[in-house]
Amino acid sequence: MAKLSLRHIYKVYPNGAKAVNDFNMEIADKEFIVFVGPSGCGKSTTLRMIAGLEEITAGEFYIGNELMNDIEPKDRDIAMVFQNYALYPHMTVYDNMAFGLKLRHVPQAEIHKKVLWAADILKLTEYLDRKPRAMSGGQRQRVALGRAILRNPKVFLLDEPLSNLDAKLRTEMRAEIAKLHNELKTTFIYVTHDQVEAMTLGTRVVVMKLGWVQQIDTPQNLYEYPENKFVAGFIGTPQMNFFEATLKRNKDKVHVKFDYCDNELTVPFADLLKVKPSYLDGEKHVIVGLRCENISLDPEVVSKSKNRVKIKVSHFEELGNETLVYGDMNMHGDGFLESSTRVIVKSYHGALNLKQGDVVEAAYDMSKAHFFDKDSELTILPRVPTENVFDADVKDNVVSFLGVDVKLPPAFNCPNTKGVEFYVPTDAVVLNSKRGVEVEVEKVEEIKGVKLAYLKLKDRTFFAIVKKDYEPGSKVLATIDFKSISIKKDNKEIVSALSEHDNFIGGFANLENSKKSALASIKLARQTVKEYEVKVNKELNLELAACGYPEVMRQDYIENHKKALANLKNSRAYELGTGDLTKIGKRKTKDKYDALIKKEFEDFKAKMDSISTSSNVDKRDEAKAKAAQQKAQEKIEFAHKLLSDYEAQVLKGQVNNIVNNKKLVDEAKEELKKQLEVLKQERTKALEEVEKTVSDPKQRQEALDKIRLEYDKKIDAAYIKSKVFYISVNGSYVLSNPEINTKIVQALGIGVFSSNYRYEVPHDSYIIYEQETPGAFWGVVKEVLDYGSEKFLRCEVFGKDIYVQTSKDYEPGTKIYLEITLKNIRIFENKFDIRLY
Amino acid sequence: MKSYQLGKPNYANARARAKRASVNIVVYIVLTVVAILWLFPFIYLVMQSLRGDGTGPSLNLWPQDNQFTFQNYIDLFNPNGVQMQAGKQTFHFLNWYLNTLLIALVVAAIQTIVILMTSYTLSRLRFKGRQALMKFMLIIGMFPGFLGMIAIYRILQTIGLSTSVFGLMLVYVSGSMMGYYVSKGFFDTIPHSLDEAAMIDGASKNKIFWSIILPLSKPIVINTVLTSFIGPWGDFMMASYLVGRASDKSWTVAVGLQSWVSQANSPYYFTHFCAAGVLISIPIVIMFFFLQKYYVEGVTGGAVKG
Repeated sequence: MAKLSLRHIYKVYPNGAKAVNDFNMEIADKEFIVFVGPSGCGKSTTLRMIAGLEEITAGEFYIGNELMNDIEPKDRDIAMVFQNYALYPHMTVYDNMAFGLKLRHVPQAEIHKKVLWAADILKLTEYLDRKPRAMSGGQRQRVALGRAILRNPKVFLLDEPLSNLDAKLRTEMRAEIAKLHNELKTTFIYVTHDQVEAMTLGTRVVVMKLGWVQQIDTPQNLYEYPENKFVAGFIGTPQMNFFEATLKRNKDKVHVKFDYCDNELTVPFADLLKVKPSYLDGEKHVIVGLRCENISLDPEVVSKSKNRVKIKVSHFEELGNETLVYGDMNMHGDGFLESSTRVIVKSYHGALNLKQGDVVEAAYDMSKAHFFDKDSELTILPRVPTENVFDADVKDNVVSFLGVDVKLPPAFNCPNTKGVEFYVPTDAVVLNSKRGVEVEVEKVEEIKGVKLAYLKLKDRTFFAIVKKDYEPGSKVLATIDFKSISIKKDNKEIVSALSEHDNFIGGFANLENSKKSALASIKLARQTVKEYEVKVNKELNLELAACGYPEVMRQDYIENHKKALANLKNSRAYELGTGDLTKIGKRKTKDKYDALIKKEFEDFKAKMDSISTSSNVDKRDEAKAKAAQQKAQEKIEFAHKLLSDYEAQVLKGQVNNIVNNKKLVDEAKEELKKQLEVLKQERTKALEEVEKTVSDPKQRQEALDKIRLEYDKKIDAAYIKSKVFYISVNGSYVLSNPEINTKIVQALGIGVFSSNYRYEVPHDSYIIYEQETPGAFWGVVKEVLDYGSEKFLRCEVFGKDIYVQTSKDYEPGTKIYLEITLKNIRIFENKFDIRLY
Repeated sequence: MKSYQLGKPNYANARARAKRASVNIVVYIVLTVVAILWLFPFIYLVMQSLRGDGTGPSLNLWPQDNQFTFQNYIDLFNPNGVQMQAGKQTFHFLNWYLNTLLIALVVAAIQTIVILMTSYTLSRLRFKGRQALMKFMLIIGMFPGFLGMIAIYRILQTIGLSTSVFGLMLVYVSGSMMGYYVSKGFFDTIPHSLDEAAMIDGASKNKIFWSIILPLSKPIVINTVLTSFIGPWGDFMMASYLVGRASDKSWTVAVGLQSWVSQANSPYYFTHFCAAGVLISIPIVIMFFFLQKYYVEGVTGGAVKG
């Protein structure tokens, strides 16, 4: 009935604040979707965009197959329940519920029937003639629900409907809403900040934070496979335990060392197979997440377990049927504060006879543990692993691992090294080819539409993403797609993978506005060069200072000092201005900033003094300084040359490809004229037909309106199709297609021509010309990379390297002309980084 | 064991009670004096309007020989007008009264609608220049109306309405949206979710205003109606230099009454003036009498979580 799809939805407020970023979701019919997250995470904004109460800044929202972006809320066929009920206080319950139907001119008898039906479902029959003010909170919320279900909407939106109710009522109403979903069988979208509501109600849950979707999954999967630390901590009470640790792999064991305490564990590598291999180096700090039910204090379990840690018990929380034991892995920690050594364990207090301050042993079930990156907080234990790592040796461009020798293609020129790490992405393992190494398939697991094969080679399990199912135990041949492999030695890349696409900054133009668009691109390029110049000068100054000319740093020091002062003053004003400080707090803040400002002054003075003391004529290295200056000068000159080349190319391309191509636009206009005529004739015919055949005036009016609407849409489409727009990259202008046009124009409105765009172009979306061709930009071939089955050219275009797939070899130094095609291209708005296509 | 002394007066309590009583006495005295000062002009007006012993001003509150009469009121409603001096001008009070009533009713109706619509627009719709417009209107509204008197006169003269009742109505109505401030403040307190709920229910902006917001805004509607009525009802300045220059049949009450208390007329018309004063207060009294219960009643109960 109603399928919803949200594609790259953004909400940016006029002041530049981004409330929702790149929201992507497909909602199937009859699903119960819950948006959950702390306040300010954009969940309500998203819901309001679905309802049409808030404009969608960029992206597309469909109900069924119809684009809803610019449709009025009343025409979207949705119903919404508000957190504060939003009942009309001057109307009775009956009128409140009937209001929407009355506006839609539903016959009185039918309205009456429906109101009674809804009142019956929600047990409101005896209150129908009351006004909202004479009802309790729960009853009012039921009226609001009744008002919504009455219209049989396609989508049912609920915005924190229960948060104004007390705990008992909330549980009751929760059950009622679940029952309602069962009975109505429509799509529900429910916003809440309460994870219990989310877990109990949702068929799928969307966890959001600061405008970004963190994870979309079923409640069970959210609990078992959180994709980042936020989701892990947000779902489940009591909160998951988080410890900081380092992981070091040593053959088939992984050594887990917890930070800030003496506890260490040794875990078989088989338990942590899916952990991203680059984190098993013993240096990167990771966060280990362990739910409290996976930690046991039961002596029987502990004695059998190999993973034992010592915990100092700090206090207890009695919950009646069970007890939460709080402790700390750090013997000096107190277990009250949330720290990276605090442990919460669910336990049966009576059986254990623990006292505060006791040191006990606990068993950690590490096969249930979650691992996260410390900085990005993303999981490093993906359900579908992205890469496999093997210990290998390289000799004569041959990689040997697990007793297998694999010859690298000529594109790699790998030095002979021993003890390297060979990284093979899971989608680079190709099965069932004619040649290759024989491996055994352990099993194939389907996760979110992706088939993951567990492969076995010489007792080592590794993973591959496959297209079809294989029988467990069957033997297949496997090879490697070399484009995405990489080789590391001591955390340094010796061989790196080819990027997925090239980035271009460009514009979007039509005949009338091509100059504007070209100038916008040039403006950005000039700015980039200017920034580059500043950067080069800064580096030069540092170098000169090292050569015995410290006085060149004076200006930098003064600037930095000014900036630092302004920053400090701003943050002081901000902290004092937020208004939630007490008098003492204000004084403390003032003192803190006074000290910081004083320190900044002292640092500045010390730096300036150092200039006068260290600027010593004897220590100067004149030759070196000159050379540095020369080099910087060259760099800047080169950048300027690139810039002027670029400007010339862009302006030339604008004239050659657009201004001289006016014929195309005229043709399109001519075509549009013809089409409009045809459409208008068709419409008149259809209208006349209806006038003749339908006799009932009301039905006739409806039919006529329908036809008019339909043809309006067709005419709009014809207009859009007739527009000639170009995508411009480096002065090459490529004809765009109507789909791209619609999306870009929809998102940016009149700003389309003065904006800059980032185009992500896959390596195979180029057409190569050997002669100069209109619509193409030139590049110089630097080298040919041969990956066996595929070949790539590394080309330099305006100082940037791009990779172009080719079937033909070119001599390094050849000038070739490239045209991009729209195949698999991706388009982003450059300034806010909004995905447009 | 504790023992209680019976019959011993509690001095502390008694002192507090005495203090409270003395404060109350002072408060009531002040209130009484203020009330007398407040009421005296009304009483004086009513007594003078009932006086039958002469027509000039008198400082006596009570007529000599207890000559109470309703003749003054009867004279006012004479359709042929009041003529106190033979051979002098006849004044048509009934025309003035009807003129003023017509002007005030029409202006009150139009102005109320304009003000409420403006306030709703400024409260709910977001458009470019909204803040600037609001400030601009506030500042313009601070200038007294008579600054534009000459300009207004010239404009009305050009379009031929300078001495007409309709011209006067136009002047009263034209600036009405500047009184948006109080009602906008009231609309701001009505939760936006009501608008949104109605929008989803299928109501247009127009429908939301008339069937959701207005019924919830009775106090502010009444307030706007009253202020819009009282303005033109008692206005003298604008009326005197527009309709005041025409024949006395198109005057308003304020213009006419002013001519009765002029030096030449006051010895003959003073008691009639007082009677007219009583009469013009009647519509306002009636309006307040019937509307005051809405004035204080809050109607938003139960709309949203309270």
